[in-house]
Amino acid sequence: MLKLIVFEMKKIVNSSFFRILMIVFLLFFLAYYVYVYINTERVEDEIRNLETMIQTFEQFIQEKEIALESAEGAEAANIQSEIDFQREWVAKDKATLELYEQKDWKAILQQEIDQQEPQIGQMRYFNQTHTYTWPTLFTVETYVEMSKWMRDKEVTPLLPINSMSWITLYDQDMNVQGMSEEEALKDLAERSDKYSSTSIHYLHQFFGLLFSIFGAVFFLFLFGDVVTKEGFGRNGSIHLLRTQPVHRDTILASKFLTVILLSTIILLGTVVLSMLTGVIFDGFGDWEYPVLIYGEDRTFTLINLGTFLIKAVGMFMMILLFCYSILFLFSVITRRVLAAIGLTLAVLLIGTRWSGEFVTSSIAHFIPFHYFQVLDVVTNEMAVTMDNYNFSYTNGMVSLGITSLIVLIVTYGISVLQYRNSNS
Amino acid sequence: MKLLPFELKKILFSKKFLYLTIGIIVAVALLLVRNIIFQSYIQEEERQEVDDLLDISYENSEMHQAIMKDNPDDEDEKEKLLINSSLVNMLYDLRSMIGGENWENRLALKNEYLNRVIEYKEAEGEHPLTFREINHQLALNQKLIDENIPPENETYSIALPNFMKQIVDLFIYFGAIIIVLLLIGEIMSSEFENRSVNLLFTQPLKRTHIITSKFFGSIILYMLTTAIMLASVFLIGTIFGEKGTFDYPLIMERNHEIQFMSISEYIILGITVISVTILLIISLCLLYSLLFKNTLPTLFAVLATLLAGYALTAFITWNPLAWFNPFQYLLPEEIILFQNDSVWWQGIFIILALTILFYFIARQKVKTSKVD
Amino acid sequence: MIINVEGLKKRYKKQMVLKGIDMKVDSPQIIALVGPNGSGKTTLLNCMTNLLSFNEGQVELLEKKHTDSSLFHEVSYLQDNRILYGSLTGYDHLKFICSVQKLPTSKIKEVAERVGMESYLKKRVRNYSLGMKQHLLLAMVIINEPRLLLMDEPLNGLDPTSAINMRRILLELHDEGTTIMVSSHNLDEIDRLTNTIYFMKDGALLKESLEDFSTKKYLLTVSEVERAKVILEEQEVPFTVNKDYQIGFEDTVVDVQTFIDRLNENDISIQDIEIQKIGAEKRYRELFEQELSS
Repeated sequence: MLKLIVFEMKKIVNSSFFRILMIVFLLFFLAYYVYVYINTERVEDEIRNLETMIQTFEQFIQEKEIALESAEGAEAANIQSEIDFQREWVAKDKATLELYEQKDWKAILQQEIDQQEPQIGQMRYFNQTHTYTWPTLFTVETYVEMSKWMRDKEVTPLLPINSMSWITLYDQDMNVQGMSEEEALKDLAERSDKYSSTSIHYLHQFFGLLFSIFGAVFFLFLFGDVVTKEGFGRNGSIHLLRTQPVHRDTILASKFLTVILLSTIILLGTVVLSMLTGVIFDGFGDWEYPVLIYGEDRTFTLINLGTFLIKAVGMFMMILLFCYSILFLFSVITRRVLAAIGLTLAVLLIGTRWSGEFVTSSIAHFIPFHYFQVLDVVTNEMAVTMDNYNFSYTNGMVSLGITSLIVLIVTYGISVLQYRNSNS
Repeated sequence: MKLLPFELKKILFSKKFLYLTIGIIVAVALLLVRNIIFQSYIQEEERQEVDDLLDISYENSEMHQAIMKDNPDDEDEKEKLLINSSLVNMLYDLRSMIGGENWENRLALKNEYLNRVIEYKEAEGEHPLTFREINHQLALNQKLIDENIPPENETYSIALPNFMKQIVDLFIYFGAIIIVLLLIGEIMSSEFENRSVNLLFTQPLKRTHIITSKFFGSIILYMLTTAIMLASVFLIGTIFGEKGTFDYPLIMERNHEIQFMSISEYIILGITVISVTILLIISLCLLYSLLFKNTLPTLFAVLATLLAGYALTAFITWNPLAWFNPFQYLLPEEIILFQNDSVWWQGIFIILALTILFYFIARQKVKTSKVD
Repeated sequence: MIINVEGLKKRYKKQMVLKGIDMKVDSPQIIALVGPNGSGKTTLLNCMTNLLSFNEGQVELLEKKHTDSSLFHEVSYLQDNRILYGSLTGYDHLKFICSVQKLPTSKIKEVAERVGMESYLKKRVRNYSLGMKQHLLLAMVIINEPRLLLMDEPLNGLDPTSAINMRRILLELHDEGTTIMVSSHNLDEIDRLTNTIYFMKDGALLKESLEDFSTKKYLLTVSEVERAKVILEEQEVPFTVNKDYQIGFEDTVVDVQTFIDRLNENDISIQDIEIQKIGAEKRYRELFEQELSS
């Protein structure tokens, strides 16, 4: 078996299509890194922003002071209070600026916590627990908890640090002048999508793109002709293997294992690559960075980014397993590469489209097509949007696993039947 | 054009075409069966929807009361509380009307409720429905009452026109692309893989004729498959479904104003734009086949081009560029139903131009194409 | 000029697969193309029919440039059976060729009878056996009565009856004035078809007409073998004796007449003389001695 796997692997890796796709993959990885790197908010940017703000304020104060000299009575008092107010702001900003210069994240986070925490009690007091206008109680609570988590575990937060760049799924309405609700929400959502070019955060970003139906389709193409190329069941080079002392089932099984193994290697390779690129250009980032996991009835938990990514990789592997088993099924049935890939894509497409219409039914969480947006499943965002908390990570893994197993058994059965028919 | 009948014959008599046709008919039948099974579920769903709205009102009510307790003279809050309790009453009425015969009254009440929600939101009350959603629902309900058309469930309708719209939606959302790729994705590349292209190349034929006949052959096959699909929907829907009306209104926006489009119009526009895109895909497929001479890379390149093209052009929101974006009909519903500062047909020219360009490049390419 | 190939060179990456081929054929004949695997036979045929490009040289068939697709009205090329479409019948293939060659469909029946494939003409090709496919390929290339017929391994998969039939058809075509170029591994079959052989070795061509060789092998059946052997040994002639006690030698080593005279002088009677001309296999052995011994 092991020898067969090595042989299969050699065949795949030596095909020029596979190599070209791997190069495309690598280029995409690097191009996206550049994009993320450019979009990463740096401390220097933050400091510059603060400095310009302080400057404008100071200029404003100066102008007012000149105006104060010529002013009298009530007007003078008015201007004076304005100046005092602005001075207070400048002093605050200067303090913050100093914190940024020293990169004293703990203190900065503490500032945020002090500012936001009182709101929680107030909202609870007025029963504003299930509102829809940003910021909802849930949004404030999670913001404070995440800040505390980062403060306590000494995690470097992603920039910018302010409550104006944090939104959750419960914020469905927003009152901003001159903007429609949709536009305002979209704008805020973009701001809360924070980039970082450090290893682990980049991996998070990259996996967010890869761990979807598109990633699955890419992997399907990588190994699309692994069964059909050799004309399994037709006249083809598979007969080379058939005429060796190997069992027919072993050939199919070894192909499947090879595909799984190579996929794992590619994913691990991505992780290693991301570690290297991140460390070279920016740094590693924090394993302990908090990720929000939604719970039922506006509750939540936080887990660290490292664990989160491991869980996500696990789920994506299950998705690949599922996709490959469908691919193998159609490969064995149709024996043509186009039909095998085309039908697999059709099944995935129809599956993901139709499954959406079953979300409220009691069996919804057993439909494996629901779980293709891996990160949304792991954070339970899908459960929230679908309003069905059966869409959990565990249920996803189980349903993907069981369906794959069933498809594989059917594939095996068909392959056996075909063999019998060809012998009779 | 001697090649064309030969090309058509090659595919029409293949098992693939037979299975594909059967597959389409079975899928249509299955979808209708599903809709019939889920008929009873429609009312349950409506009830669930009303219950969810009720929950929202209860939570809001608690919130208002808490604020009132703190400040009993808060007039705004009192106002909101009043509106909210009228919302609750309306929802109870709505709930009791579910499954009843009188749909006009139900829609009228629904609209009354929605108008009240607007009032509530304007008084800074909390509600998950946005103004846009509310306005759309209001307009549609009113239109249905005016035209005397009973409402149909969007997902599980068994009225022929609404059912046909469902199928057409599936078709224009990648359905047509998958069918075309399955049908003709290897029309050229398999000739290289099987070496059968050598037969064509050693006949007294202009090589460009090979491309021409494959191109038009593909178009004919696509039209045939589409016709089979529509015919099967029509037959199955007429026999097992309900009559309904093709004038059933769909909400659309034109320059930020709410307007209506009939289902028949939607179906025609949908099939038109996807068919134009299919032309582009066929020409791309031929061109890539000549470049790669292999089915898998061809297929990948076609899909990657479409995806990358769509993703790149999605970044650009500058409206005039839409005239030059050949990828806009990959998700056509948006283009057809939301014609804000845009018109549905603006992508057709660029797509046709590119199709012709790719077709001619392929014709040039085949002249020097060799079998390695 | 029927075939005019000048200085044809073809390179695959760094390897020269055709090293300047020159070939001129100006009268109808049957030519055999013989060489070991990988010597470039199929490449040469593919280059001549514009299926492959080449780096240097030029090809003209029937006074037309090889890129002119109209020459396939008069030139046919029999390739391997992968060019057939499994989902179509033999009839579909022939009908297609009739339509592009502008031939009446009545030809189909005629040609099917000629190659003997009427019984399965309307079956799908995917159900054909190897021999049936070969028959169809043959029908497809002779239906237009070409002036030049190129064939790549036409005898693959043919049973003896079919092979004899194919040989008959080729000889008939030759009589009708068709020039035929056949590549084959079957040297016996080639001996029966033609004397003109182009040997290919490492992408180079060596033209030979076996008739140019005066070398003949004589097999003598004599009354007293042992004495005849002594006489031959005296004359220092290399000879062989086979299991039928025939004495064999070649005429290059000794003049036959002198030898027969000598035997007669010694009262040895000659009962039978069999003259064998040199065959393709013999010549092949000579040319490819190195490869054969290794």
